[in-house]
Amino acid sequence: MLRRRWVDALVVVVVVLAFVLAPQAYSNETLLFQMMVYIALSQGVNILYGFTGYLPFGYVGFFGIGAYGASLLMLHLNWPPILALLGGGAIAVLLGLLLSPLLRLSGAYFAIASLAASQAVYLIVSNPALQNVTYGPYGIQLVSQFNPTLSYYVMVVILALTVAVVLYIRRSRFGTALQAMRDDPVSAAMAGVPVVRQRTFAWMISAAIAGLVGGAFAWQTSVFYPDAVFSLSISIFAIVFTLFGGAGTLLGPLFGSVVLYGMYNTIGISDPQYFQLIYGLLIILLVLFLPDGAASLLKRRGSHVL
Amino acid sequence: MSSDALLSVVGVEKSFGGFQALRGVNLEVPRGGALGLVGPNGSGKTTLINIISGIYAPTAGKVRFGGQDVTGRLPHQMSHLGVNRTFQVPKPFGSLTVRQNVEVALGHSRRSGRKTDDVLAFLDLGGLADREAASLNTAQQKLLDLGRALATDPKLLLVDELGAGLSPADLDLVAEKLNALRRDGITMLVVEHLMGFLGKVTDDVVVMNAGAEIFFGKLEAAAQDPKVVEVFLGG
Repeated sequence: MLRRRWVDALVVVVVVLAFVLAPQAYSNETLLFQMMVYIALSQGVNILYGFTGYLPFGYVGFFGIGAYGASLLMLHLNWPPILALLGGGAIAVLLGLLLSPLLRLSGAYFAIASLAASQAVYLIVSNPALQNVTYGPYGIQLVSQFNPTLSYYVMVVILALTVAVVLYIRRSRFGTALQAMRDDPVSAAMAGVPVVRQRTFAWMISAAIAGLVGGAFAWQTSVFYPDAVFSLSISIFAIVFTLFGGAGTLLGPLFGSVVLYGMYNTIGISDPQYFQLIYGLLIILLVLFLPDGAASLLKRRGSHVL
Repeated sequence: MSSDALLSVVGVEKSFGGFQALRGVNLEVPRGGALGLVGPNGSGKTTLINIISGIYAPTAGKVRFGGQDVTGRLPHQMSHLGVNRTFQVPKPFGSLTVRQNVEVALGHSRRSGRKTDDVLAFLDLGGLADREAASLNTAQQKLLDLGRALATDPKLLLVDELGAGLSPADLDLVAEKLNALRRDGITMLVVEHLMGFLGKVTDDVVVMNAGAEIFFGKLEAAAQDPKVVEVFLGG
């Protein structure tokens, strides 16, 4: 038990150190920031999909609402950025609560309904009729709050918290109960697990992570349009990174985000057509041969993957 | 209605769309007793078990447990009250180990004074504790279902075709386990097609047909009852 705690603490420290020190070696801080965004988002997807089996195609909705929530709190109420970020996270949790009836659906139905919900939120936020509140399609400008260095370190903190939460869930009775529900919700209920309540709780934790990350993204970017924070590709990236690495583990989605997002940045921007080809092939191969992700390669050899 | 009944089912009906699966079932299980529930396929036995365990809410009628009206309670609430069950087709948490399967139930029970190792040892699953539940055979998964139910320290155990698919040797073993649990004071409602097995673990039986009970009494008497004979052998 004690050894596990040390391993957990070590993982968090390594992740933090990696992103604190990385800017010394590699000058593209924006890329590093976005890599953190995707690691955190894929862990958020992981909490939901890896532990409860619900695949949230509309996950970007929480990211977008967090970005907008934090921005609007800064712009309209003059909240300091860090407080506004927390506000963005809270608004994402509220949205999660509002959408929690979607959890009555399962499988593809849930995936599609969550996607529809995220697009509904996008259309509301970007609606010109709400220009006085959300700035509609004209986007957000946080120029007066622009602080790339501080927002970078705040993102490191959010990432560290996210990793710690996933580790906690993996080790806790709560996480085991979530996995039990994923395997068989009826048996889980008979085992005494309040299935709906615990699943909703996981959904809200996942929403909170995306909301905080969205707020940090807004602060770091400081100028953005609604389609930048509600783009479906954000959901898809986070899901693919999670699946590639291995849902239900901590290191899987982390590995997936670093490798695939790194790949996206090395060839996705210079040679987008090859990137899409490779990505497409990768997804097909993954689904066919490695549905449990890269982590399952190690698990098959009997290793335990954190 | 006798006051020593742990479970009373009163006029329970259940419809699925236009199909009436239960048409007003009445039965009682005395505290510490073991009642068998038999009937042809589709007679509503499993539906009744699902209603008592809270998986379905009845369309009409009442379920009373320990003198309390528990109609329409949710499965985890029934589990907390002390009602648990096994499943006809075993439903393990496949990706968890055998030990974790039991621990989930133990950790979420409101009543349990049991220990994981004791439960596993009682069911001879100790040697499989670290195996993934999905890798067990059907008989082992059925025992694991039972183990998970026991971990919640039930007062009433609903046993849904635990015997089906077991070898004769395993059947005797499982019958012994159930009798040991009865001696510990667990009340039982046992759905079973295997009459020999049922005779070993129950006192009385209720025979169901087409969603209603048609006989209550000793198993031997059931075999002599003209209505029961007609249902099983055809008139």
